[in-house]
Amino acid sequence: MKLITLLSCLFLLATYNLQAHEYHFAFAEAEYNWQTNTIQVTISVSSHDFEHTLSEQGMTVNHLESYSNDKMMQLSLSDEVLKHFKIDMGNDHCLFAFQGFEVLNTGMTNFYYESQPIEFQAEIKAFFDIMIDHNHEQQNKLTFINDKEKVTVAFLFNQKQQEFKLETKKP
Amino acid sequence: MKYFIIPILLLPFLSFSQSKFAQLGEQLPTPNEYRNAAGAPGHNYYQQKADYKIDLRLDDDKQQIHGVETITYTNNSPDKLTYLWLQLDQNMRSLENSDTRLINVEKMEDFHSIGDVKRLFFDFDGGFKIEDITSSSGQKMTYSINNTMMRIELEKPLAPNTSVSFKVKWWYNINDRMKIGGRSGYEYFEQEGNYLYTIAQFFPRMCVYNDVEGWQNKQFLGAGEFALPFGDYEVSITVPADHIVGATGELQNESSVLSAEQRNRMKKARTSDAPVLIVTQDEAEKAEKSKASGTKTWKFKATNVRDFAFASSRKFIWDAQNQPVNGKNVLCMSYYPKEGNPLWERYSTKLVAHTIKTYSKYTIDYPYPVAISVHSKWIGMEYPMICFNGGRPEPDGTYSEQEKYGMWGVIIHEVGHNFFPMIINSDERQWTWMDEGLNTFVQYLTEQEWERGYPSRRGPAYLIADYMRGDKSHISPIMTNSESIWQFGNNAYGKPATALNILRETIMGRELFDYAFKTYCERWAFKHPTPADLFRTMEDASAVDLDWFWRGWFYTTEHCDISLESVKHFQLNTGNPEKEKANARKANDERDQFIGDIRNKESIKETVNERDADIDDFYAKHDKFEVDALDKKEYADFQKKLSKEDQALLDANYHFYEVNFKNIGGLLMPLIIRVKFIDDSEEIIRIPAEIWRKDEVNVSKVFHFTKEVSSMRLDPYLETADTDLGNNSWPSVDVPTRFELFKEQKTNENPMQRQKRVEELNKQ
Repeated sequence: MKLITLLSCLFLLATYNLQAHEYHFAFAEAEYNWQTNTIQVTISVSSHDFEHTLSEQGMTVNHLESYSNDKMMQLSLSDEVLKHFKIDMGNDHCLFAFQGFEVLNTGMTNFYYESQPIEFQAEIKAFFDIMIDHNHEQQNKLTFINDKEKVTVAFLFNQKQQEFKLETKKP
Repeated sequence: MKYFIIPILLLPFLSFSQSKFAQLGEQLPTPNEYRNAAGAPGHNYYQQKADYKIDLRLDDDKQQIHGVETITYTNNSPDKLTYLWLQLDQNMRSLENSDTRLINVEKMEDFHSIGDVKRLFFDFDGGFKIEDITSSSGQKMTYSINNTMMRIELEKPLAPNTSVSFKVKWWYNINDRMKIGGRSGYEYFEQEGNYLYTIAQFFPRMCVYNDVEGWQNKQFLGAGEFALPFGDYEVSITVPADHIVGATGELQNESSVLSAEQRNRMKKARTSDAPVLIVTQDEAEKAEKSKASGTKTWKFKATNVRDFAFASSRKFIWDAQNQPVNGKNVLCMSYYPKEGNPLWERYSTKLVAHTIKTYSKYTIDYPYPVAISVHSKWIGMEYPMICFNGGRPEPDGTYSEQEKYGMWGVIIHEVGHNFFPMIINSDERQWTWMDEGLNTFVQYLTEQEWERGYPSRRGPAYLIADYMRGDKSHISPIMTNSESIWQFGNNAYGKPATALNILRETIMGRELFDYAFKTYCERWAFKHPTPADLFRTMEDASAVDLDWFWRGWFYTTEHCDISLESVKHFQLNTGNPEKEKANARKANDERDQFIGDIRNKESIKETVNERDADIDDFYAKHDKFEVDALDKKEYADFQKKLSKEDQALLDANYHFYEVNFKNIGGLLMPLIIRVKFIDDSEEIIRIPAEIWRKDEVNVSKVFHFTKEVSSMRLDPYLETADTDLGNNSWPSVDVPTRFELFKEQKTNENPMQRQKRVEELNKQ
């Protein structure tokens, strides 16, 4: 038997019905930059889905665009995103620094990150489960770019981590 | 640059494969007397009719709805029916008659908050309580409930072209939509103690019986929406006396439920081309401060609709305007609480009017007398003539640009559903994409006519690329049953809308597409179309073979990634030794030189043959690039054999380019190539997808120009949903990542701060 520690007390009951018009997809685009030896990442989420997920977690959030000039809140949102996005290159864990975010009129929000310099290694382990625990229909995708090579992997409720190997070394 | 020798033998491709261009025959149902091979209703097409007379009572104290309905069901099929099936959608929330919660996949790690755990223990019984079912003679009828479906036994079989009437008495607890979700329900405004009801799927409704499914009695699990027959409705809704009610159909008793002032305003609205307030915000705010003790009964009538829904609240502000559609007036209306303002009073009804006008252009004329948008926080949901839409400003009355576009988009989408599936009545339980996908496509067209450059979320091909690329193990083909779809939004909304947009812009062209699409809508208005009816009609009305397109886009999960693999440049050999030998000398002089040869020119001051004149023989002295008499004679002989046209062709100085393409993603698409020339002019070349018909992986094409080419770009207008633009250019061009684009435009000031600096600069 295991003991479960509950994280928060919520008054809002999660829905078990599907909303009529959900989106439930997040994308990440990551590129190894050989000039800076960093990994540059854009994570795109549906603004509405992300706001809804944060509300379910007990975070009182307004619409994301209201934080366009609120650096503290942006960092807080960024921390939340980074809890759900991790990349290991070989045995090295990537540490990402938040670069900014944009709320688009199409209903998507982009979060931008750059890792600390990291030596290129072809073996990649990626974890990308943003919003998946809150909606099992959520599906996330990562496209990793290294020079001309692109690898796309999908992340699901029962497949939150993916490992793959890049074929191209230094361009 | 390379030359080729003429004449040249063109060898046919040896490999032969046509699987992706094979006709869809096996996948489509066999045409028959009900649905013909052209995609139109067959000569014996039939559909059932279900007419309803319903008396409703909304209990605002207990949040319950009670109803008594008389259904008259007409069997127009050639079959005898021994029983009838009705849908009990509210049973999805029944404690005893629902599998919906049981089939949700769960893991213990999902329950990481008290709220999550409470969800496990949360019991709300929102299922139907069927009190009585009686025949027209008052006899109790036997019925059996299987979750969201109810079978009623008939005393004697219902013969073709006969009707049966029966009465159903029922009630249920209305769900709190804000807590447990749902397409309908109520929102509770705690500070005032008021409720806003948006009520739908609220009465036992007849299932569809047709030539495709027999009884469409597939259980309602939550995703696949509804399949409903058409009929006429007379509905009386008894609500608290201070409630305002909006519903499917036309209000029949204005004088009983509206004040004289409200009726005057309505009269004005019926001829106004701008919204007129029937209930003002001041009046609504006054109403929400108290509660009336009595009731009023609102009566509505709707003809030839597949469903009925309504909204009721004392909080409603109400406005209306007229929108003519081909000479017929349509009353466009909005109902919203003060919380929806200022967005709703400014935009909602205008959006309703714009939507029915624009959809009428691309599909069929809007046939109903009213079209209504009701404000309902968070969701968007559609019913005949009425829909419930989100888009709520902040409590302080401000709203962001994103909120505005979100509200615009959802209203256009939900009002648009009047056409798909309320009129062009596809089976949503089976095929979500047939209404959501087609509706999202026309939504895109409507958005673009509302505002130039409207940031539509779905429709443009490039917006679907992220979804389509990569691992396909958890992506479904569009042709997947509604309940089994991975990624509902992209699969059933985004991808089919994109596919239709690609057909319109790239494969068929606007004129052919618009005609064929309108033909489909006209053929199947007020009928039950299937996917095959759409596929066949689009071909039948356009003379464009689209089987390969339906197969790729609707039956597979392949994506488009076509690469521009290589480009080879050629020019014709004119045979003229003066010209060709000069060119050969130039090419020889410009060829790459070995480093040793370059250095030896400096380091070796004099070679032996430079010092000793006897060393160089004929071979050393012979200039192979010099034109001799024999060259001239051979050229003269060659010219004698040429016609004037041949000579002109040789003199034209054409540049030939052999371009090789590779289909990496698997999805067949046309090749659209932008060719730029060294003088900065450009040309667009469009090659139909049939170029892949004999080799689905590698194709090549030779282009000829009078100018030299500086670059080529595949899919320059982002119209094929190509998932990798990095392999589309010659010479190769790096495509910036989203991160790089962000870094380029990054600024620490917001647009308003920048505007201030501009204004300060202008003052100087």
